[in-house]
Amino acid sequence: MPRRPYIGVMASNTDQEISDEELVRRISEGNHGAFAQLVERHSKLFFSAAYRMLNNVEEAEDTVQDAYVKLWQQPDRFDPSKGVKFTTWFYRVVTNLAIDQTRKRKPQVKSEVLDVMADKAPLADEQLSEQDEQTALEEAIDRLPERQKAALNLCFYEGLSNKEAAEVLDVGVKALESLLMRAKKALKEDLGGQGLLDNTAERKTG
Amino acid sequence: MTNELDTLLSKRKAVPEMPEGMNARIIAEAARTEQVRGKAKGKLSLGGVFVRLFDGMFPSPQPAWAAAAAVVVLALGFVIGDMVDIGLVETVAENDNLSSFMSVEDSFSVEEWV
Repeated sequence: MPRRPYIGVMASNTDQEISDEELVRRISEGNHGAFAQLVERHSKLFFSAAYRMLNNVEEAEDTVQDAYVKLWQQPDRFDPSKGVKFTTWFYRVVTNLAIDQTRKRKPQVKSEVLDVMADKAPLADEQLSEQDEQTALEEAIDRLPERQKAALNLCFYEGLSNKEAAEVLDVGVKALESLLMRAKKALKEDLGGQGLLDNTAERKTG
Repeated sequence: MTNELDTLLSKRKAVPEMPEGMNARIIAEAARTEQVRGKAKGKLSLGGVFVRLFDGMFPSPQPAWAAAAAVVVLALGFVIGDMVDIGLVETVAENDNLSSFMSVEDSFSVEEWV
């Protein structure tokens, strides 16, 4: 039997019919239940987005928590009259907080990445295991500029449309496509240089 | 092993499970934030009370000590008023001998000035 949610009042089917926007309105009236329901409904989604940006479970949790607490403190910052969905707006909050967190720890991460790269250099011509491929991919994505990384995560891993991702990053769709194109180009160069990409195939696809 | 980029991107490791109790911690943190605000309302300091009392009297924000000083002056006024009422303090109006009260000599004549 699945575990009951820790806040039992949140789990009824009728609650599922309440829109996110209505829940935020209730939060602005100090409704704890509405806040708990919004947390239950989307925390997994935003944890995933934060984790993809930070690659660290604790930091991802802290980021999502910060975002939700800010929502609780200042729910009026979400303005549904602008025609933006709650999830799109909240992706922006989480992504910006994650970028802030990345900036705080940047020097440390860079040195760690350089250490890993130095260790891997002798293995460049060897066949890499799948785990090594994943590690190399994570590191390559981590080396991308913040906004390229966010664009890639949102579109490729979080399943957002280009339009939604553009709204999250507060850019036009063309600018988002440019971010994605540059991210892929950088990854091709980075991973191709490590022998992880089929260069023939990549030349064909451009 | 070589791949196309999209194939490699799809091999990215999955996001780990959300930490157990994360939602509870988020809700508790939000509740704690609200409790702090609630306590601040309930535990208004004496200085804060004075500032609020005199908020309407002073157009610009005044420090608590200024409000307290105003209260002291007001209280002093009431005390002196009471002392006058019970005759502990003699006022000019109650003293018939105005010249002695003012320490002015009675021998003054207008001619001296003409």
